[in-house]
Amino acid sequence: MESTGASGDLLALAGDGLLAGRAADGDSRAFGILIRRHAPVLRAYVNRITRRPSDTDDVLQEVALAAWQALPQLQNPDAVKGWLFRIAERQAFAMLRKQPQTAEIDEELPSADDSLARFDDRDLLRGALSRLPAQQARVWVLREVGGLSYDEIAEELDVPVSTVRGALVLARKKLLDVMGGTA
Amino acid sequence: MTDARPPSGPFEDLDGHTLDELVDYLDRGRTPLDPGIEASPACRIALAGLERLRLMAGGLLEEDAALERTHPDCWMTTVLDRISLEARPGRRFPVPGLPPGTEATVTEGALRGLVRAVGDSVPGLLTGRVRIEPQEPGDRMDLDIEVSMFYGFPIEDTVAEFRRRVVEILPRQAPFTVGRLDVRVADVVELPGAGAP
Repeated sequence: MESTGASGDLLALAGDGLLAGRAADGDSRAFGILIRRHAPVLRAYVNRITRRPSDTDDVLQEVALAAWQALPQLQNPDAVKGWLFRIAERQAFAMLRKQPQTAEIDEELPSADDSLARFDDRDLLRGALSRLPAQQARVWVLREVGGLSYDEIAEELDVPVSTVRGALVLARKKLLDVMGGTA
Repeated sequence: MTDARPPSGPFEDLDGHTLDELVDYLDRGRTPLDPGIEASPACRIALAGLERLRLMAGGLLEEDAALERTHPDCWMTTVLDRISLEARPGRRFPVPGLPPGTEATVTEGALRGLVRAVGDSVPGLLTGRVRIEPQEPGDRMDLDIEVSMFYGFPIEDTVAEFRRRVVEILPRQAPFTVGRLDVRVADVVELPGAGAP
């Protein structure tokens, strides 16, 4: 027996922790609300890691299925957003491993509309990131946006830590170069 | 900036320090203070740039997401269809008091669903995680339930009403009585556009 009606709408107001707890107990409705709530940012993160937006629906689907399976083991339901980010990373890496690196074709990521004449710092960053080689941009995003350690990035991308450090230095230099112009 | 620019930019010459070193220094929260780095104008410019980059990295995904909010989510429908086929039954509790040779069970998942539905029927309250512990001789269940309250509803009265309904409805819908009943209010949620009911 599952409640319906008004509580369905009210459930959308619940915090992440409550939704994650209910989802862990088997409430698929709470799970749907939780995943839909974070899907836009998870999509953006996966896009930034893979640079393959056309594959992101598939990755997100795997993220959601993996999350559903693992939710009963989640120790702190209030920290579910960060936990979903870790799952998104793993699924994004899995997708990258499936696609040979040579076949990597950068697709267009969100960018500001030039005609809006609203070109702020972050638009500049977005543009600079899109001009970086995929691996450099990916490593930078994982470190600065995802907060992963050098060791974690190296392990996930299956490269030596020195390679990660090297890619980060190059990425930071290029980004600083671009951003420095507006200081 | 042009693409023709060689890789060596203004952040190459950092008075004997490397960019990597400066990043590690920032990661340590600039402690202990390194007088060599702090005294170098080139290092200070690079540190300021790195901090600015970090600040911008913070909101990058939210902005990306805002730029393409209207993404269709048919993929989510597929997910929900798939997971609805694999409910979480949990443990199976034998129905007490059946004649010898007869066996029937109630799943933990069904009991949780029942408790959730009872909680959601109480105005001002939403049910969260439900933990169930059967007690010997098997017809009594200890319950530990997390709830969220909506702002403006009296917590004590609302929780009391929830407890009353659980104690009354559970034995009516399932062959168990309620033993220990712990209700924990995990948080208070604001209703949009209303301060009070």
